[in-house]
Amino acid sequence: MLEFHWQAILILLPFAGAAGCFLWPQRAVPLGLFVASGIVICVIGAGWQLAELGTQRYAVGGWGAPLGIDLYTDGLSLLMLAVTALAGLGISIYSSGYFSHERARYFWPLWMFLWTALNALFLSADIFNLYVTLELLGLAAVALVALAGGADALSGAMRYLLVSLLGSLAYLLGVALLYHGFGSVDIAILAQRVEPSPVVWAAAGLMSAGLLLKTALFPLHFWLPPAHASAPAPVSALLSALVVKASFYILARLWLEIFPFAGPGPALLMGLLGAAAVLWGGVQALRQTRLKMLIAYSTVAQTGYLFLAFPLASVTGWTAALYMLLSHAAAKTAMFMAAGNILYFGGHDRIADLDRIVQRLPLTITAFALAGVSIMGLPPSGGFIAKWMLLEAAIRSGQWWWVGILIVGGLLSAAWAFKVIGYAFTRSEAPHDTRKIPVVMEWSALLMAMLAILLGLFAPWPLALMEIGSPFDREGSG
Amino acid sequence: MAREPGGEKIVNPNPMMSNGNNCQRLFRLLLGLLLAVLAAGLGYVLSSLPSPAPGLSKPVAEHLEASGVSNPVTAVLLNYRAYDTLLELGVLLLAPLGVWSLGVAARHREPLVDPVLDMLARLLVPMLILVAGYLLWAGAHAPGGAFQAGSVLAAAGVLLLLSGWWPGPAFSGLPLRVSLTAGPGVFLVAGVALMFAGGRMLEYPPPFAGALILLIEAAATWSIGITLAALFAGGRPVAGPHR
Amino acid sequence: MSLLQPVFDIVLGLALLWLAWRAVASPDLFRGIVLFIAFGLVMALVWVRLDAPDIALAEAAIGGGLTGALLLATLARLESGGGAGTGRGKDRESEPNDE
Repeated sequence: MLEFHWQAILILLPFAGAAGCFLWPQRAVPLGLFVASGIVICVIGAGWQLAELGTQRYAVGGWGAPLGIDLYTDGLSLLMLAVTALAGLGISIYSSGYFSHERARYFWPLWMFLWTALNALFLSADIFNLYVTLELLGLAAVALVALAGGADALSGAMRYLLVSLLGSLAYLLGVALLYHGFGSVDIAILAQRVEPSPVVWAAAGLMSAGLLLKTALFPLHFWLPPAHASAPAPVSALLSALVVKASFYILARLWLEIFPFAGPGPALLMGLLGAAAVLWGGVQALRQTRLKMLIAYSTVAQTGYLFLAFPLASVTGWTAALYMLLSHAAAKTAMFMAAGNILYFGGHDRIADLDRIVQRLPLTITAFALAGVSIMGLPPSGGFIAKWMLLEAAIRSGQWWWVGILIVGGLLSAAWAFKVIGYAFTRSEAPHDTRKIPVVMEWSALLMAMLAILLGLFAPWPLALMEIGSPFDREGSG
Repeated sequence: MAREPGGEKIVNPNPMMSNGNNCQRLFRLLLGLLLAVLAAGLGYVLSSLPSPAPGLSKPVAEHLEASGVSNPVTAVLLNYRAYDTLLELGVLLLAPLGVWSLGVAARHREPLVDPVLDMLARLLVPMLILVAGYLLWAGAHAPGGAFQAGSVLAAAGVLLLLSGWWPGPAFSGLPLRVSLTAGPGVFLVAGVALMFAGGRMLEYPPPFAGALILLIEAAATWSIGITLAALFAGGRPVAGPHR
Repeated sequence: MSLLQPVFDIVLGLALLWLAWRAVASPDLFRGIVLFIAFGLVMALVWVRLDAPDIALAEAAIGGGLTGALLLATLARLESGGGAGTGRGKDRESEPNDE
């Protein structure tokens, strides 16, 4: 059992699930839930394999790099797979109660394809294969956004599609340059062969630009709020929690393995843009009148924190960014699920008219509050652990100016979180009709929020997992 | 493809030479400048590449016999990097899925009655199908392969749709979905079967590699043709009896 | 005739650039689409010159033929005033779980 092809199954199972959900739409929900549970089991299996045998390289097709494609598992990729599996399971359970039958027959195959793309992306060790997974990911995400119908969703989806294609094109150009400069598309082989030259600088610039566009770092974030706010609630959760993190993961891999000699200049630039994102996202979130737009701008802000790892350039810094990624994934999923509940319940998501949600949807508002605790960075939560480590890394490396950004960012998050919770207690001017929410929707939101808190209480275990294969130790080796 | 009479002509909303306000012009000028600098930079980088550029043509040629085909492009696509092709076939299944989720296929009320189109369709469609079959077979040793054959098949499908033919309701339900899924499905089943038969995922044993590749390509050709023609139809099939 | 090849390449390259510019800049969308189809066919020739006949075949069929057909079909729908799929154009605030 230890030697089993866990990685291959992680990719093939959701793919098969997508085809199955497409062929038998009547069985889509049970099939989707079955696949979700199967993926969680496979991630546990892969984790056990990693813990026992160390980092794994799986040569698809038996050829091995440079001729074939390798799947590489280390602590970093396993943790990304684990957060995808947990968030995915939560979203699958939520969606089983959310979508009507007509929408569900298209949601489930699209969601399974998105999951295939995510798993394939986190396991891949080949930059061209990463491009293919990015394409699958982007297209599935666009189709899911457009599923909501309506002018907002369709125009948001169209903008997302064009931006995504532009980013992919820039990334592909970088891949072509690297291949023709060094004769391979495998990350490990490139890491050995690459040396500073115009080709590498051009490739690094192009690939980073494309991936930054996809991760929605300020000022390239313009496409994110319309797309995430107008999508159906589980889709918004997927996009904010998982899809934007996938391109960040690729960016981190490339910079840590292929471009470690880049020096402080580009890293500082990314850190400054991240800081600007934190401030801009926070301020814009405060100005919003609709709950889903607010949460979407909060994603812009939280993504900025991730880029502080570049100038901090230490193992603590990267571990902190990764932990921030994990806890944000859990917290943002819970928040969007809560917003979806509120929207389903009252028919609208205007913050000023939340009308005593505290009494009528207590589980939902608890989920929102717990998720807000993580995003603000209050103990005990995953967000607190991540911010604490970022502070530690900043002070230790002498770049104490980032501390100010962390504090201001936390204050801005606290401001909008308390504002929303405050309105949840008030009575609105004009009462409106309400609908009964399926129980799974409320409970899955609460469970995801509790996961964000648990990430703070049980931090040592994921932190130890991250160290396997020491993905963060290779920088600066040139 | 004639425009329907009576509809208003659509004007290109962003022609490059716009007489619009100066702000737009300035923006376009800056964009043009940025792109010119980018192009110059790329040109410089490309000229600095060693020539001949390092690549993987030697390993590809060395293992060509074990791959089961003699066309290196097909070997790379369907054997060495078959996993990429599997994901791409997934993208091809995703596309009509997305289109179907948005709307219903608009069947033309009065199909175009044109003797030239009629005759052209009668002559070309069988020939296109033959050419597709040839391209599929030739892909093993000459330029060709599943994608090329599939797109020629799709052209035949588009021609049929243009001349007013529409698939019957019996085909539009499960058989259509099975046709769309056949390519990725066969590929997936082959990959999993090979995995449980003792190798890695998608590891073809050399004696059977040629036959496996042909089988996968045949299913892929059919799927690609139906997918692209279904994209042209522009929406999900009209609601029939659910199966 | 070794001079013919670079000249032919330059002509192809310039033709590509000119076709691309005219396709984007033309005020009539129908014209733009037809120029785009021509662009696809010239691109197929470029692939042949770059020693990639498989891509040339795919480009001629898909880039020249299918994409052009899709664009023209879309143009026909737009010009006939909306057609299928725009009935859901109104803004919805409530998540449509009741469709």
